[in-house]
Amino acid sequence: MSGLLSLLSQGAGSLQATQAWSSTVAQNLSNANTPGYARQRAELAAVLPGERVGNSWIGRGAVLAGVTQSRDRFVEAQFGQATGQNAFSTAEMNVLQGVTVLDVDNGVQPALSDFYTKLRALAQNPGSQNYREAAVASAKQLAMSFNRTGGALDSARSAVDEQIQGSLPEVNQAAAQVATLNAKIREAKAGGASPNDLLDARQKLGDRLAELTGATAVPNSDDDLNLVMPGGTALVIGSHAATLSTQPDVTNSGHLAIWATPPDGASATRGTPPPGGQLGGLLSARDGGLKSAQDSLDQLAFDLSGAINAVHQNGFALDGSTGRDLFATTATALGAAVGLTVNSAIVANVSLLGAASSAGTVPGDATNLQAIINTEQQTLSSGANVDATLAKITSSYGAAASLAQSNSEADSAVLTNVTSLRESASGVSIDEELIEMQKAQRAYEATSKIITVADSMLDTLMSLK
Amino acid sequence: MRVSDQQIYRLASLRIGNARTESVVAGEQVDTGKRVTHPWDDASAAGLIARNAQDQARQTAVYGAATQASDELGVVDSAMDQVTNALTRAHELAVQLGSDTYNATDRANGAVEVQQLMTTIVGSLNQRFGDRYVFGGMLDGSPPFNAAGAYSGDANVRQVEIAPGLLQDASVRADQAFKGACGGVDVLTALTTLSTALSTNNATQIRASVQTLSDGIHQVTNYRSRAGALMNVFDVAASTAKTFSQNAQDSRGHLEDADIFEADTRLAAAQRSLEASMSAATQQFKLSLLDKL
Repeated sequence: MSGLLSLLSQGAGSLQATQAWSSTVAQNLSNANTPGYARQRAELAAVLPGERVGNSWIGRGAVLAGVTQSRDRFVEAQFGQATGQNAFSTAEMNVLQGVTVLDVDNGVQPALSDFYTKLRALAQNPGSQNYREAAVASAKQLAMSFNRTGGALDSARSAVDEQIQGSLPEVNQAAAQVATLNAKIREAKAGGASPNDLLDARQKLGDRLAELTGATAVPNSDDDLNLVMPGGTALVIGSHAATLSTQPDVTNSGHLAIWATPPDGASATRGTPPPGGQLGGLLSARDGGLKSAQDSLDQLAFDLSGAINAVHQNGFALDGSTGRDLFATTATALGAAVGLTVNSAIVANVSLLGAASSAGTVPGDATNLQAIINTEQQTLSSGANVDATLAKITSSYGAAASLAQSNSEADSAVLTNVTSLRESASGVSIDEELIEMQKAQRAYEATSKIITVADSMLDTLMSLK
Repeated sequence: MRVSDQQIYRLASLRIGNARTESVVAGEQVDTGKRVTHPWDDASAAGLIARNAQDQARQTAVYGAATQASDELGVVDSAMDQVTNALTRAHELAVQLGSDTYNATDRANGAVEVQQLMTTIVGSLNQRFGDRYVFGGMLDGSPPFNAAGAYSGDANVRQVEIAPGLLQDASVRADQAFKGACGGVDVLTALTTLSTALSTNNATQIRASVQTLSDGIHQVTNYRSRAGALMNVFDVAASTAKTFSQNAQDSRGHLEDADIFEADTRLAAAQRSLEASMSAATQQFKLSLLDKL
């Protein structure tokens, strides 16, 4: 009798185990496309110890030993780094390739060509008001093209600042959540359970932080997810998270620098080296390709306007006056492109353009104008003339953007491969799960039969007279 | 290798996305005919394209300047032709009326004709090209000769660029060609002298004018030849600049333009690849145990 009751109990226990199996399969199917979800497995085990009958041991059915996650630690370790590198190069590429003012048919070059062309036309007839108007208009156009190009580069750098500032709350929030989850997971594990959903949530946040900051996991004995940014700045240590903030950098035209308040609450320090991931890519684009182009353009505007002014000051206007600058700009190269303008007196009165080499040879003397035209071939501080300097700016910027694109393509290929490996290890296959479901269903049906048979046997026993 | 569902969808999306990107890039090149639009399309080519564009603009400007200078010298040549013709007629009158067979009335009539020739010459010497007086030197904003033949221009010669940074004289010094500066003949004064000699019936002076006018004609002809030579220089410079400009444009084209056939082939290949990716994805999506159970 007790054996039959034990059989009933065994059936009931096994039914619970197969139900848990089915639930796990259902959970996998439900989350087949949930980002960050790692497939789970219901681990069934024989109930120990078995029942001893005479010299034999009879089994007591199956029980749910646990629900485990399928994660490959080797792949997981690579995933964070691959994500961070891909986010870095992609962010850098997107920023650099978002700027089109240095395109082949755009930028300063067409205006520069037109300026010297109009000066050459004026040199044919330096007394002509029409030609003077055209030459001064082309000078204004040149100044405006420097303004526009320099302004666009500066705007792009400022837009990066905004993007960085916009990302930091998410970084800080995610880091704080990882720290909180570390504590919760430690607590849950202390109770003997495997908090798979918490682990998934923490891993998802870790992936996002890898993408945003390039932070990678540093394992510890408590199974916490400790995150460290490139260069060794800790982002999360156990249940404490760092806080990232920004401060204007006076040495970088007031653009934002990232500062970190460490997880231990010590005072904030400037992140050196800067973070990786998307933030690092943004900083690299802002302070690399964009800054280099902006600085070079400023220097070119400063040098060219200085060279032209030096000649123009020697020129004589139609009224015989002399000593004027043609262009006005900043006192140093910093911001010269954006600050470049044409002398307002000359704009108001084009006859003040100093084309002649003496007051006695106006209006037909274009000697000084010819000297201004010759500045086109003058060697500037870049070591090259204006054409070559402008070409160098274009090429250097193109090379930086092209390199970022190559890096992005390479990093993307690596990430694709690592993602495939991760999905292969942790992703859900609906086909597999359906088979598992079938298996669980069959097991459930079979276990139900045990109860039916035990019940029938009990009936038989009870009906004995 | 174990394949998860996310893998199937992600890889399908990735492959289709890559094929579509390739298709769009090739399509853009076919549409625009350009392979370099942004500096990162080909960094070194982008820099060279900028330099070529600058060089092309410079050569085009030089071509325009040289052509204009040649046209202006054409006006100078025409004016000097008129001056030479007038001087030749004056020389004929001097030879003719210097003969003792002519009386005072004949010579007075000749004086009137010489005065008319003087007016013609001054008119020719005050020729303009655009709004510039071509014989004024750098003082070209007002007529350089007055009715009496006095010169108010200067002794400067205009210069025009015949190649980037290389200048060439582009005008004739009227003070030398017509006013005899530097030891030549002042043809206008010679005409005035002849006119006076004719009106005063001074045969000796008339005969003396013959040689002066002959020297003057020779002098003007020499300067006209020089103007013609300058025209040739500017014509050659214009032709050279045009060739260089064309070369710069061709060079830019080689750097910038897409090989349409190659781009078209890549477009076709990319479209085929896109179709294949879509087809493969569709087949993969079709096969599911869900439909079999």
